Amino acid sequence: MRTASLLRLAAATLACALSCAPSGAAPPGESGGTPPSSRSWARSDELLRSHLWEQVRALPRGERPTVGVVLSAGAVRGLAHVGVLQVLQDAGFPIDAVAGTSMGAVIGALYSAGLDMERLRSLPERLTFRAGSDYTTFRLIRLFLADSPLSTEKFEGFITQEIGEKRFEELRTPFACVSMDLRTGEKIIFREGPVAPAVRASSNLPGLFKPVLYRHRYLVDGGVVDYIPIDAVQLLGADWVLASVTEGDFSRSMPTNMASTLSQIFDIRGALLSRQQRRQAQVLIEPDVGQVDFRDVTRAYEVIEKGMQATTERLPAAEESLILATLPGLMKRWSPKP
Amino acid sequence: MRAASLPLACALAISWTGCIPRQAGGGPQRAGRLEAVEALFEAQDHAGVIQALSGERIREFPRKARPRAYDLLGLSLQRNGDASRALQVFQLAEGVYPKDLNILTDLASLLQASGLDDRARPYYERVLRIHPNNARSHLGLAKIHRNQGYLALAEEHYERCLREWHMHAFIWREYGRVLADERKLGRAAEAARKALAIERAPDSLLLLASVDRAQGRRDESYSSLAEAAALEPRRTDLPLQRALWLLEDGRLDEAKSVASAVLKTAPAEPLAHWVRGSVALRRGFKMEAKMELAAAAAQEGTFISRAAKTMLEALP
Repeated sequence: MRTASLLRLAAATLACALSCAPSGAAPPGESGGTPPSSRSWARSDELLRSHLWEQVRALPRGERPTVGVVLSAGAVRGLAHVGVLQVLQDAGFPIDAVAGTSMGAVIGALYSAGLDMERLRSLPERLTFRAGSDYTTFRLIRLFLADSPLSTEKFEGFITQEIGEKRFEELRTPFACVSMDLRTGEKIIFREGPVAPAVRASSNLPGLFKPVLYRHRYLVDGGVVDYIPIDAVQLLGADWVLASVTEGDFSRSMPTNMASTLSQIFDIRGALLSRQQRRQAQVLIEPDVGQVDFRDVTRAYEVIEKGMQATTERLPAAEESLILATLPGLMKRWSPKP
Repeated sequence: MRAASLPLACALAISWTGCIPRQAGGGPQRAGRLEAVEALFEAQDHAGVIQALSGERIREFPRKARPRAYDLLGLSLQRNGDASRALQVFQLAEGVYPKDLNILTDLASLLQASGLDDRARPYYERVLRIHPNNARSHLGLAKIHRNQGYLALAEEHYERCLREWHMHAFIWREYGRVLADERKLGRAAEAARKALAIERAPDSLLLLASVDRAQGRRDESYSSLAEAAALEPRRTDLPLQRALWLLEDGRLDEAKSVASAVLKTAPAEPLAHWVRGSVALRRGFKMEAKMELAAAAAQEGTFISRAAKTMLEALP
């Protein structure tokens, strides 16, 4: 009896060690699609959302609100916008116009030009500090000793390499980006002309990089004046706005050098500026990237994942908001013709 | 985060389980005791398992049997509704037996069931580094990736899981839903048919119906939906789905009739009222539409209510 028990135990132990299904062969239960409780309306909500969403998606532009997507500044944190766009695209979310500042301008320009998502996701492999500036050890020493900022001229080449010498008018999705004129403090919204110099100007961190002399303007990063450029996307005709915001959590960091101090000042100013702009967006997506240092490229893929997660979570709310904005228009289509 | 919480978890778990096992050896009679505990677990006597394994009793088991004893204790605590103690036990056991597949997957499952997908993921990934074909970890990761929006990765993990667990209809169904979300409709239909070949379940029929409809096969989709409704006549979502499709197809009388039938069994069902309101609106009967939409709007806090209110505001 005891031997039989031992054999069974040994067999069970061996089976456990070799099994592809530990803890017994039974898999855990099903997720999603479970039958509804008669007292809960969650399933009914889901059915109606899906029913109306298909109709909203099928409407041509002009018969539904013009959807604008706004991508905030945020350097490495801004790579979360790639994840945001990926989920929106997978869900078939209409995107009629895009506006961005700084890293938001970079991602927005590449997306609007029609770069496929796979290439956008691999951006961290190509978009290095060296690829975007004339950074060398010698230049860095000169930056500190001779107070001579780095140049981002190479960055224009990078954008051109990715999308060609495109003009704003030639982009697949209407796009705008924001910069600031250092001499007047004006916000400059680019929506026509060559894309590459405008994107370079929009992502030109003052202090580290030389201002860009373009169209008689002396331009630096747009994040200084417009962290979430909602008015830029509205200029492109958007009347329903989804904003992806990748602010840094400055309250928890203690900058110890020039670059991180500058970045922190940017974040603080950005947060102050964005308070008003946030209210203008119909839907806000805020990936959990506040703790990521603005130049920590080692966390680039994690940041993209955070963008995907935040968007997946907010997607039903975004769909509902756009459906409700479209419903009066849909009702006109449903009404019998006189 | 995990590293920081581990000592605390260990301390708590030690206080629960007595102490970390340190005594080697143990005779066959002790192995027999584990079998008795397994029997209690199989009989779903979780309180019995907890009693048999609590305090210092686990250290009386042979060294090789202890990982399973910890696993059974954790699972029983979990099934007894004590998830926090279960987590303490699993975290302690994971620290002591970091390569035990059962402990790792059960810990990951518990974290996942608690909504902590990000914390569950590394444990599943660790299992797959030890055992690349572990179906349960592939399934866990597939669900996590699906929840987080990585459809391509979810698809890949479902496929790996199905290589081992190809006789579970619900896994085919979940895989089919991911494919449908990716708009890979042909393959989604194939997955739904595989699920149906295993078990003729209403949810598999609903998936097939939805995919057929998305591919323009309307007759087939109505037929699958009708079969699903016949299998589970108490479900209201199936006729409501039918009513919405009829509405889309302009078959207004039928849509109204299906919604009215739902209201006979569930008079407060807001979607049925919404369907009837939409039918009235399409026919130009504004007063009737307003009345039905007002009934739909009465279920505050729902999307249906917000949609109905928006429509009421837009009605002259």
